[in-house]
Amino acid sequence: MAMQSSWRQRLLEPIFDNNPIALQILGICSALAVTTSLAPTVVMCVALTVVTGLSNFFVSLIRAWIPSNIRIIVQMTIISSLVIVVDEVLKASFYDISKQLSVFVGLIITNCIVMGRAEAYAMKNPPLPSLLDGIGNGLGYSILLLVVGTVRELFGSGSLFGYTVLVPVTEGGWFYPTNLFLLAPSAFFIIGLMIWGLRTWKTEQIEPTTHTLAPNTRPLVLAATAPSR
Amino acid sequence: MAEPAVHRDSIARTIATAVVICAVCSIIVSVAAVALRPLQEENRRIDVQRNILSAAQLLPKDRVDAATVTQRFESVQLRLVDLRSGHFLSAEEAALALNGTSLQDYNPLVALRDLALSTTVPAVQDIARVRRREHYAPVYLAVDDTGANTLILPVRGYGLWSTLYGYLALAADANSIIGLSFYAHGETPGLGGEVDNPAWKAQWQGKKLYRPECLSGTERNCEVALLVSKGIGPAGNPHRVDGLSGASLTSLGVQNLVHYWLGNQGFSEFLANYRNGMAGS
Repeated sequence: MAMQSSWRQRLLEPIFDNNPIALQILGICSALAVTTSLAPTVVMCVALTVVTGLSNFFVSLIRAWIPSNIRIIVQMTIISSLVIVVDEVLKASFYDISKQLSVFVGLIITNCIVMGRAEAYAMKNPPLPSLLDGIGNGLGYSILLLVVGTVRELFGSGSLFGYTVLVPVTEGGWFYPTNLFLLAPSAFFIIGLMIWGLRTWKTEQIEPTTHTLAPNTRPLVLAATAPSR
Repeated sequence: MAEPAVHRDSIARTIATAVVICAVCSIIVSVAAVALRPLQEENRRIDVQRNILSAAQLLPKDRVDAATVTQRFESVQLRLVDLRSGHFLSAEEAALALNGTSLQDYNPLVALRDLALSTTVPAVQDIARVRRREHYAPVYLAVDDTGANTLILPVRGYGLWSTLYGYLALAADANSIIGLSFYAHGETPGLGGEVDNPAWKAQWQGKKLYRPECLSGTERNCEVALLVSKGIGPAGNPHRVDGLSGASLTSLGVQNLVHYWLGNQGFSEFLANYRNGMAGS
C-alpha cells in the first residue's frame, strides 16, 4: 500500500506540485517553439515523455557502472540515442508531423528536463521509480504545453487540431487572428500567467524573497520634463 | 561502499564503460535507421508526389491517402528539359545525359554536385540564391479534366531562413499559373510558414507570368512581370499576388524564386519554345 502510494506520488507529483516547467523552469525553449498549433504539440509531448521515461530507466539501470567523471556524457549518449530512434520512428510513421516539428525533435536532446531528471533522480534511484519519475515529469511538461498550444492555436489561427473553430476574416468569418499568439513571446506570457495562477493556488511554491530593490538615491524625474539627449 | 567507487572511477573502467555505451547505442541507432529507411523514403516520395499534384490542382481539398496519391500520379508524365537550349530531351537523349541514372531516380539536387550536370550561377544573376543550377530539369506533364496540358516546373529559392523547394504549375499557354506548392522549407510557422496556407496559395491561380507583349513572340527574353507585394493593386491585376503579412522577406523570396526560375536562367526559353510548339516532343 505504501509502495503503491509512493508510485502514484512519483507519477503525479511533477504534474502540479513539482511541475518541470512551472516550478523548476526547465524546458522553456521547446515550450515556446512547438506550441503554435496542437498537433505538433501533442507529438512533442508524447516524444518527450517517452524519452524522459526511458532515459531515466536506462540511466538508472546502469547507474552503478557509470564512472562519475564521465556520467554526464554517458547520460547524453543514452538520451541522444533514444531521441534519434524516436525521430526515425516519427519520420517513418507520422511524416507530416515530423516535418512540422523539424529540428525540435532533435532538440529534445538539449531539453533540460531529460538531463535534469537523469542527473537528479535516476542516478540515485532504482529503475522502476526512475521510469515513473521520467513519465511523470513528461506528463507535467505535456499538461503545460497542451494548455499553451490550445490558447495559441485558438487565438492565433482560430482553430484546434487544424479544425476551424473561430472562422477568421480571411475566410469570410468574424475572427481577427492575433498574430502575437503565433510568435514565441506569447508563450512566455501564457506560461508566466500559468505560473502566477499555480502559485496563487499552491502558495508553498512561492519562492522566498532573496533580495529587495534599493530605494532610489535621486528623485524621479518625469520623462516629459527630462532633458532630451 | 567506498572501494567500488574508486574502482568505478579508474581509467580502465572509464574507457571500458565509454566504449561499451558507444557500441550499444550506435548499434541501436543504426538498426533503427536502417530498418525504418524504406518507410521513410516511401513517405518522402509520396509527399513530393502529393505536392506536384496539389500544385496542379489535381487533388481534392481534403487530404487523401497515399494510395490515391500514387494512383493519381500514374497519369503524370515525367520529362527532362535542357535549360540551356529550352527543349525537351527525347528518351534516348535523357538516358545519355543522365549517364545511367534512370529518369525516375534523377534528382536535380544531387546533380548540383556534378560538374557535368550543373553550372555555377553568377552572383549577379542569382536572385533566388540557388548558387548552382542543374542543366536538366525534371518537368511533369499532367492532363487536367478538360484534356488540357499542365506543365509542372520544379522551383526553389531562398526565403528568410531557408531554401523553399516546390513546384509551380502552368496552364498549356505556358503563362497562366495553376498553382504553387512547397514541399520543404524552414520558414517561421504562422508567418513565412503561411506559404503553405491554402487560402494564400489559391490567389496564385489564374495569375499571369508575362505581359501580353512578351507572348506575341517578337520579344524573346522578356522578364517575369509577376510581383508578390503588399496589397493586390488595381482590381484584377493579373501580375500581382498579395504578400504574406508579417513575412515580407519570405514573400520577396517567393517572388525572387519565381523570377529566377521563369526568367532566362530558368525556364523562359523552354516556355517560349513550348508556346510556339518548338519545345520538341
